[in-house]
Amino acid sequence: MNAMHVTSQRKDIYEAVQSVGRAVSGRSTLPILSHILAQPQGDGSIKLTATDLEMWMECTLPARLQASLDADEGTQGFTVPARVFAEILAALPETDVLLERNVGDNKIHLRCARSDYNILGLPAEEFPAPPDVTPTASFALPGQLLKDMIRHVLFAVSTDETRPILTGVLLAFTGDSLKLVATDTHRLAVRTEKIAGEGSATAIIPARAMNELIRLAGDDDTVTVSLAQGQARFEVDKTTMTTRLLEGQFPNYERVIPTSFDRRLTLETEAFQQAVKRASIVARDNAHRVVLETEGAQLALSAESGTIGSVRDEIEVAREGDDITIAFNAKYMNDVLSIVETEGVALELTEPLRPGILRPIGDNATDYLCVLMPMQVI
Amino acid sequence: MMSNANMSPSWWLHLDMNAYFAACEQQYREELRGRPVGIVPVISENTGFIAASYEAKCFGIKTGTRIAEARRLCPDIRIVEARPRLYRETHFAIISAVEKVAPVHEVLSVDEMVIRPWKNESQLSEALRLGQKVQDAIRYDVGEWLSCSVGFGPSPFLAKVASDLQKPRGLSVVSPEDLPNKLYGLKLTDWPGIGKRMEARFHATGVFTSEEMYQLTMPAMRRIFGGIVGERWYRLIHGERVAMPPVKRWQIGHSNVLAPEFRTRNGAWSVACRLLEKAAERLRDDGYHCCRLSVSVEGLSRSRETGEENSWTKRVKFAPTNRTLTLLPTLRSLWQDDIAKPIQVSIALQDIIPDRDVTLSLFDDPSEDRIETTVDSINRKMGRGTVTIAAALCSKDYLDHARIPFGPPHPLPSGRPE
Repeated sequence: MNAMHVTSQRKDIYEAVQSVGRAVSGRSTLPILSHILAQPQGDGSIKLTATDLEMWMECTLPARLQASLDADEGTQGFTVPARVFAEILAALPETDVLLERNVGDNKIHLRCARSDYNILGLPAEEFPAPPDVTPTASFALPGQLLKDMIRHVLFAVSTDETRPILTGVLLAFTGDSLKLVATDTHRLAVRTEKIAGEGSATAIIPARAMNELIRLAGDDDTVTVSLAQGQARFEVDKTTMTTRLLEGQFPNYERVIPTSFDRRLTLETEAFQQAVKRASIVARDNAHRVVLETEGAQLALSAESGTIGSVRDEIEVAREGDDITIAFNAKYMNDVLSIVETEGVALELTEPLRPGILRPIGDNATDYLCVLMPMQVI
Repeated sequence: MMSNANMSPSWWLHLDMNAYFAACEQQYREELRGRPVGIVPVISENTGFIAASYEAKCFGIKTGTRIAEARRLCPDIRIVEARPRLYRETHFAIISAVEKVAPVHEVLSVDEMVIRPWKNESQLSEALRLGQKVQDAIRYDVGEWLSCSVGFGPSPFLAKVASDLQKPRGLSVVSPEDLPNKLYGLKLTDWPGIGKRMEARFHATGVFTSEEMYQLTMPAMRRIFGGIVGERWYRLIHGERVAMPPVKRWQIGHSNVLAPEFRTRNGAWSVACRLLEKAAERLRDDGYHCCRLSVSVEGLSRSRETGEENSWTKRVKFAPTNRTLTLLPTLRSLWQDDIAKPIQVSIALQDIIPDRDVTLSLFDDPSEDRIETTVDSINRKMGRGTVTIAAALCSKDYLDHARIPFGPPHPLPSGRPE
């Protein structure tokens, strides 16, 4: 007797499997974590869930569902190995896919056109339950804005395994504004936006979850964010991502943001970025060091390498304050310049070995800053 | 324009101390003179010799011979535990003696150095006289049991080759006119830089003797060595002075085969802490930061009763640092206490980058830098390890005196410009 009988479009199932599959654990010692859980929902749809115990991905997809009411097993759903399931779905023709699970075993019968598969699953009750998220703060924002905010800070996240707290993005919500902060201690990116919502909370979201969110959220989607003790949940259309938060104290980033400056260089973003790129061809052989030197209305970018040679490039600059010679890591500069969308940027400086701030300026300038630590000028 | 006939040939001298560690012991312990002596890093039946006196070599005993084998070859052999501090002190005394008669150009190791004669001693006869003077200076100023071989060549490389031609107390010349016939008698592995693996590569191309090696063209040599190194080798053996590419340092490390009293979990941990402290101190002294720490511990072979692993290696990457106080918690996080009888501990600070190439941290606490700088300056003034981390205290004396200085002893006498 069939405990469950699901019919859905191949494309719908495949997209959902690909979506939740990002949370499937690749190296876990628990076999169930390499599986996707499929559970029937009251409205006839079906929910797919995958987890590596750090992140849960759930996706609901339209289906024609028949679950046997006299069999408890029917409501628990079934599990299928994620990799094999995705592979099969990718190879099937574009038509309805029928999934059946019999009472008493964990075998899944998949039928599509003239193909028949019997896939061995694991008991659905072994699948770990998603964490209970009781929000202390929640808000919603457009997908495009959230992705934009994440991109503005994600490049600054650290990969230092000895300081795990810096491998995430600080998300601070005050009830009427949202702030995203990331730092690898050499640079600090802060993006703020006015967003209304309920409650207030701070959370450190792993960089991996932030990357998933960029992939998950469409520009026109609305993303609902719920922050809770130890967990954060992001709901986008029919997909929900829940992630564990990084535990620990994020460094006091506000104290390293310079509150004043002696010099301010105003530059055309595109020209500045291209000049940095040109200089970095030589600089990459010498710790990415690019020296910036102002001379009147000109900014010279130079780099030297013992094996390649040297480069000097000039662009126009509007300068406030005295001339300055300062060196930055070209890679760090390029990272931030490549995500600034305004026509102009301002580089606020004090001394050659003190941090500088790069901000977008112009009509569409957002509340964003990136603090960059300089290198020694040699 | 000066004619070639008037140009002074350029000679290099390579000084190689004979059976150095054993000779030091014979110099300072009269009862060992004239007797077969083997030097071991620690007194243990499982170890091998790190040096053997010429009297021991007569019995077929050499560096690497195990103690049991040595006893079989020569029942009267005297086995002596190494005294690294003595060898270091003697090394500096030798340099002082040599410098009285000739400029030391470069110290290659504790028992090898390159000497560049002054311009007025650049004729071969004068250079040979200088070599004799160097040998005499060491004998009179440092000790009559300390002998050396001096090689003369048109390049430092051929001078080194020449120094190996006659031992002990040799004065050997490889002149441009001697090339290549004089070196045909060398086995391939007699050449400095050709080991068993390289020898096998030569064999694979049908080259078995030095004479056959000299017949190779530069492109053939490039093929055997797999690139530019072959071209460099070709030039070296033909007497050219080749500028060696700067060696890119990528790690600073220390390793220690534990003395029996330190073969415990606590002992190994203490040694690891001291090794880390010393490596970090060298890192700062040499002007570097590191981005990776690698730790490994080896134990005696796997226990049959407990089945415990006999070795482990762990490494972790992090933001550039040169601070002992930052590295210590990282070492703690990597450390495993699961080897009951550890015998060797190794620490390596890897992915090192010059201080000037480090982008400083926005969050650095300058007071921590001051702590490290102050400790370093106290240790420089009062002696290494005067201020040390508590965990390293019990291994400090053992480690600071136990390291056998195979390389150039620290601090290095600076090289002279040509």
